[in-house]
Amino acid sequence: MIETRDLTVSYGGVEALHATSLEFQAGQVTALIGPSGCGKSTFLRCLNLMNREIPGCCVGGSILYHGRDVNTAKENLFELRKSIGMVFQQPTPFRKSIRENILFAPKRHGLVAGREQEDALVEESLRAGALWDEVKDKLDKSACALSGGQQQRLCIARTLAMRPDVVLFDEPCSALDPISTYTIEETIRAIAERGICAIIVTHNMEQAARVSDRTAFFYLGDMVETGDTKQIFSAPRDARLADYLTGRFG
Amino acid sequence: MAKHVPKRRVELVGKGVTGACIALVALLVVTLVAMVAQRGISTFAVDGINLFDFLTGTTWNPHQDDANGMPTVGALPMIVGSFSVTILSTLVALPIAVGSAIFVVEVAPGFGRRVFQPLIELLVGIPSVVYGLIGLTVIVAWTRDVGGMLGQNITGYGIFSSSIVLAVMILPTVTSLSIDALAAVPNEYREGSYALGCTRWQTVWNVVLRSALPSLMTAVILGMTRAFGEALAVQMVIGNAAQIPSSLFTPASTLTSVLTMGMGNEAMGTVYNDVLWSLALLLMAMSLVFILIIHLIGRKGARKHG
Repeated sequence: MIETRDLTVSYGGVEALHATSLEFQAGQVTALIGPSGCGKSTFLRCLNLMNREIPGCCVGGSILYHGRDVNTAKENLFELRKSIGMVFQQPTPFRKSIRENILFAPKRHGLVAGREQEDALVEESLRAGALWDEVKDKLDKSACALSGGQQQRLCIARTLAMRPDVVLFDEPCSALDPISTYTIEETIRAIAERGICAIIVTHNMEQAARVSDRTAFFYLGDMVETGDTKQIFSAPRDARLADYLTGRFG
Repeated sequence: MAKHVPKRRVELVGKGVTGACIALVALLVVTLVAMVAQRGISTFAVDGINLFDFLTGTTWNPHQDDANGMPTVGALPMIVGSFSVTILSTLVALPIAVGSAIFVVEVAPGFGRRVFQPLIELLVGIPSVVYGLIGLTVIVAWTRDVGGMLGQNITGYGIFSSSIVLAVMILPTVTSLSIDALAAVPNEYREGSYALGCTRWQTVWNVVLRSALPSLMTAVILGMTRAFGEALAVQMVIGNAAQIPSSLFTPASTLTSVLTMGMGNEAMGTVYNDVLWSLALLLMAMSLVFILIIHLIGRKGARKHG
């Protein structure tokens, strides 16, 4: 589905991420773990070319999306981001109603026409984001009035409304309480079961173990080890990964 | 030395000094408001001028008595003048201010923050009399010339020239505050929009401006407050005719211009003098209303965020 080959990232000439090659499958959840500053978020933000928004950031190597290299100057980022969604650490609802938050992007990209299609998409997306039951009676209320966990699920639903086939999660639960975290993990699993390729950056190792099928461990800008989540957590090959898992650093 | 002063006493002294400061400020505000109110109200309470006539009367001629033997002090021409220059100057300044704020924050942050913002803040410090002087020699003259070219015999003084001068005057304030407003929008909001495949302009229009709306409103109202209260520059270019303006190009007057023109010439305690105080009271009340609106917007914004 999406694959990187020798991907490097440098900020102002300093390489923050060394050559990284990884492959992500549809229908799977892949967790990227590692201590703070290890390059996992930087890596994630390459996949939808989000790093292009940061001045002085330079991305090398290639990103193959459906076999096509998208890390080129002529790639239309806005088209690409329609199918590669992203959810951030802080919930970022727009100051609009819940309904308008969902329809914001689809309307602008001309994906819905007419009230019926809009209503259907709002319900479908909110159901997929596990938020429908809580908000179905107040779709026209401001999204800012929702709780933090609800806002984050709204952001997931908003992303899903674009019907992406890859969704990137950048520490989606680190600002949330345990119950909201649990709901979001469930949602991420459900998303993967729908055949979407989900990639999640987390510093919470239990979360990685609970939610992911595969795991990649980053350390000081290197992708150190990758494999099945079970194997990574039960039989790490690299000494640094073993140290990290046992809490000796990070 | 200080070691020997008991801590409790130091604390008491600190409390006393800062408390005295705040008491002084509070006293100042209260006496100011009380004085203006007392003088302003005595027009109606002591001199017996009808409040309704004052607010709606269209003739301003304090030295001439009307049919009831009362001085003719209809303030409507000045009220209309004040509000028209305020609203027009805001309408002129606002798009320019928000446009340049978008440029500074979203398009060229480096250049904008280093060069443009200091430049704009420099403009805030220019005394209003300088703006008035430039308005007098440039705007008024141009308006007259352009009017002449179009076959209109106008003086160049009036609401139009005042609005342009005021727009230039409030532009730095509104721009500076708009820059702050846009810069305060969390970057996550922009990224959230980019992540949905929105372009930069879609993001600026739908997300950044939308989130910054309360702060932008505050910027606008602060600008309006300044425009409403500005006296000197307006007085120099408005023409100072106390009549309801028939067009943007006929001489008019504002509450402030009438005040500056008349205050020095009248003895305390005369009806004319009291009426001028009433104008001042009206001005102050309007400023209070503006500030109240800012607070309401601020509170509404805070509630939405929380």
